[in-house]
Amino acid sequence: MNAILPPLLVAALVMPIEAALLPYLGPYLGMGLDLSGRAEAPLCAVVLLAVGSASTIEGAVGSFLLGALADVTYQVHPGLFTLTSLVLFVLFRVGPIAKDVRGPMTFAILTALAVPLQAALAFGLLWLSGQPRPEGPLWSVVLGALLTGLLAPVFYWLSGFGSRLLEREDPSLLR
Amino acid sequence: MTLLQRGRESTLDHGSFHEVFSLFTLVRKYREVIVLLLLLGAAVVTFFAHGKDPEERGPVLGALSRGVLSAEEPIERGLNRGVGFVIDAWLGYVDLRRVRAENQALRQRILRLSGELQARGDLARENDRLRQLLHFADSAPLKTLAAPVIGDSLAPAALARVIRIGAGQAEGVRRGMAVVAATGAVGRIQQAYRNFSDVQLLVDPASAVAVRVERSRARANVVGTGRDRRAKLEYALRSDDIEEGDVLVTSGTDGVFPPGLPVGKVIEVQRKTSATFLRAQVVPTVEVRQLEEVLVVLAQAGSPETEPAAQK
Repeated sequence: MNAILPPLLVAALVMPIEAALLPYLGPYLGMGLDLSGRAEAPLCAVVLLAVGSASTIEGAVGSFLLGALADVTYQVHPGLFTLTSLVLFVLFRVGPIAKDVRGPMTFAILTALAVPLQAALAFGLLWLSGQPRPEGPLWSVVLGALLTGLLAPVFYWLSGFGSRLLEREDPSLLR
Repeated sequence: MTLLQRGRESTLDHGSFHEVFSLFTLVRKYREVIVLLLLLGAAVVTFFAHGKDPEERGPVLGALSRGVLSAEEPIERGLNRGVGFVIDAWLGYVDLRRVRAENQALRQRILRLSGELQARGDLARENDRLRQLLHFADSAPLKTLAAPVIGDSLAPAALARVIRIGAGQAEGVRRGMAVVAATGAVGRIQQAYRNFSDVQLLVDPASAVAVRVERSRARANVVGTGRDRRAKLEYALRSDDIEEGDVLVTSGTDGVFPPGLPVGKVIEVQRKTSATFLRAQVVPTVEVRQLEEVLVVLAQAGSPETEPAAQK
């Protein structure tokens, strides 16, 4: 349980902060910049569960919960992010690349790579279910990957901090 | 019962026990795979069994959505105020440095516009007289509600374009109502919660608005592309009189938007000889990122709610 809670709580904390900041980003930058990409906090958490110390069952349950949180918050299509989160969790848990994640930088790279993967999965699923297919996603996916990669080290640090807070010494060892 | 029969039953009991035990061992051994498959199955069923429409989500998913979003809303609103205060203070300082030069320029502009206003006032009065003469019904005012923009959708931008506004069911906002700004149409209410609502923008891939070309009156639909400043024109016949630079306004035939609201400008038209419909790119009139407040159209001209207001 201790492995699931920190990423889940950090994602739930980061999401409203990002939502509150987003309306200000365009006018504040004031360069006509199309900030259509988003840093995807739930995805950071899913990747962290896949490459972290969580067991497969804990990670799968955590990914399911994170996907469900993304679904109720994003409201793109029910179950879309639950499904993509679980598939990404399995891919990263099984894939050999995940074993090379040793710190926040490699974690950031892996998380940034997860964004186009999730986008491809989401587009494929929406296409399968007959939803309207967006036309120009490439720019926003690239920007999303970049922003998520920037968020990832912060997320890594915050989750580590949360884990340390939750860890408690076993009283039996003190005897 | 013979001894032989008893022996056979005892062997069977032993067999079933072994079977149950081996099944239990198997489940234990593959519990990770089983849990994963169960969760994946639940996600697949949720995805394919429900439509995008929030009304089709069923009581459980609907209640879950409302619960999570209602819990997030106060945090979002509080943060929005805090961030807004800091940014407003900074922008206020920057603005002060520009204000003197702007003041001079504005004074000169006021003088010039006063002259133009006088001339236009004469034209407006003449127009009023002619309208009365032709028994044109003056359009009844819209019943609107001003609401602040309190958040932006966090969904991957290419999949959904939604903003959150600070007015909900408590203020009379309902799903499907049109949302407009001073510069034109913004979108429609996708989902109304108690104190806030989500607005599906015109550029959302699932959005479609019935429009008319202001110059030629040709009809078409403006459909979102998922990109911030780009939509596309659909169902406009190849033979229709549509050119680059044409302004598109709402036709009112979709029953959502009142007619005549600016929607966008045509920037590129492609006519293929083999296609029935032309293809055109549209830039929306409203710059969503600069919106701080919007108007929700609670009732349109001709509806019972606006009639008394119109008579007054």
